[in-house]
Amino acid sequence: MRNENSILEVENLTKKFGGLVAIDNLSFSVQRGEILGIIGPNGAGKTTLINVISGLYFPTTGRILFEGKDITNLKSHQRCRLGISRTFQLVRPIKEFTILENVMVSAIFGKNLKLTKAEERAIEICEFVGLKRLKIPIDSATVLELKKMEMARALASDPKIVFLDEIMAGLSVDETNEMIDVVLKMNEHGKTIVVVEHVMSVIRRLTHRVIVLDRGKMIAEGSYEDVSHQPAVISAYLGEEE
Amino acid sequence: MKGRKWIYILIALMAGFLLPFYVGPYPLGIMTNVFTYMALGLSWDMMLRAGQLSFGTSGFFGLGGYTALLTTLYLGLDPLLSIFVGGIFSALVAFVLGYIILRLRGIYFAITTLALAGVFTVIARNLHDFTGGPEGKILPTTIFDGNPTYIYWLTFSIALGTILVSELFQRTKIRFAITAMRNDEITAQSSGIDIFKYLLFVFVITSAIQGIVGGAYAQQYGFVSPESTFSSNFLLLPIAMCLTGGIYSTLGPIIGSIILGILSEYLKLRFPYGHLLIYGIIIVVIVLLMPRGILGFLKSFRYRFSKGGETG
Repeated sequence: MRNENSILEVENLTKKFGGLVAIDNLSFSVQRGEILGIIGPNGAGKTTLINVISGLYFPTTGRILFEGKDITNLKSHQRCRLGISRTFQLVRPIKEFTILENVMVSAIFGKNLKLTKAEERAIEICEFVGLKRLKIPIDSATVLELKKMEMARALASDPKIVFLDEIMAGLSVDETNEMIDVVLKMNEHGKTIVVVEHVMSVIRRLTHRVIVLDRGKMIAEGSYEDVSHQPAVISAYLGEEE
Repeated sequence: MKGRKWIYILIALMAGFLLPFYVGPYPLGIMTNVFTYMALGLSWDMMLRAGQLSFGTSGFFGLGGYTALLTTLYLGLDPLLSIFVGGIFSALVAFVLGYIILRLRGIYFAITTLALAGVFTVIARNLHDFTGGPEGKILPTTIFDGNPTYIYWLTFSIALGTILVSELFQRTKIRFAITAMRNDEITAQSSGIDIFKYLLFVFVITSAIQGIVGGAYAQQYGFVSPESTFSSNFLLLPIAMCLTGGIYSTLGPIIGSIILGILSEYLKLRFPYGHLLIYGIIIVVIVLLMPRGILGFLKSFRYRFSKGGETG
């Protein structure tokens, strides 16, 4: 059953909030080196899925395997140190820190570096994602800079797999193109990437494979071209035809 | 700029150390008090920097005080050594209790620490044979035979040690951990920070400081009793001093404790019958006018007049 090339496996995962089933017996795996897209209408459970995999929530039932190791009961910071990192849909900067210090936090604790080494690494990574103003306070950063800061922070812990939660939301066309280039560059550097996104053109250009969620269940899987023509996917987005 | 800062620090250190050679026992007593509250204020602020409001200050202070006095009384422990035993005992209790209550956050944590301090008082009052009950216990002699200079140097050293710990908090990776935690626990843990470990660490360290300060205080007077040793003064005055001077820093509590400590003595001499009222009004006015404390006020003041030039 276990595929040697898969880095992350999710088995029969269910997450309930009271009576609401946010994720319903979901199983899938992420292949090493791929860019996997997760799409689905609002409330499909995409962000909940990231929260469960990154350890902010614990699943009601089911298991999560990372490189063959069961991480279902590990805490968020432990998963970060193992090599799972994420960005947040609504950016969550440490407001008292500069851009650089925000990225340093993840280098210090996620990768266990000393302050000076962490600073060097944070500078490198900010350069990698195209951040130029490193010493500015958070309240004078632009949306693009904050989104890039989220990416840089996710990278600073030297993860093996990165979950990007709607990083394009609120960006202009040019900015989106810039971000797509950064994500592709991350992938070239060997990072496995899972993208949750609403913008379909982004999914089309970025991903090797797509999973479609609807009400916590997987309703389709395959390449973007395949998936986007399936009736189940179309009806999930547009509603049933009368 | 950097060199000048070190010169200021050196002058302050020399002045602090040499003070007993220039002033009499009364001003020395005032400064002894100032350093006591300075260490308590800094320790309270360090916990606050980690994002949690603790009302346990007087509890761990009293615990250290009782431990120091009783170990000297029953075991004949050297008073100076007993002070550190007081700190260690407070730290141990903080470790065990912290393991349970540091799962709470915000106001729930705050109110639980307040309750703990209350529980310590009740225990001290009721273990009649051991703690002396409501009357407390008295030692035949006080530390250093009551020599005010030595007592001053003792509290001065404790305050210095606390300042050092506080600066370690500000200059090492601890600062990154606790500042991140205070701002956003979800971001902090997603960046690999073990929040619980750091909270427990800070809680134990600050409780140890409070225990040491309490131990020194008890040995200074050779006396403990539930009402005086667990007095809410040791909780509320340090908080007032931190709010006055400015929270989240080392300098803020230092400034606050010196200003309020000396001010309260002055008011006591000037207005023997209304000094606490005036003292309270002054604190309220300062906190209202300078919400970020005197330090924060000075910083924004300097910022306003040096815009375009060099800023901190």
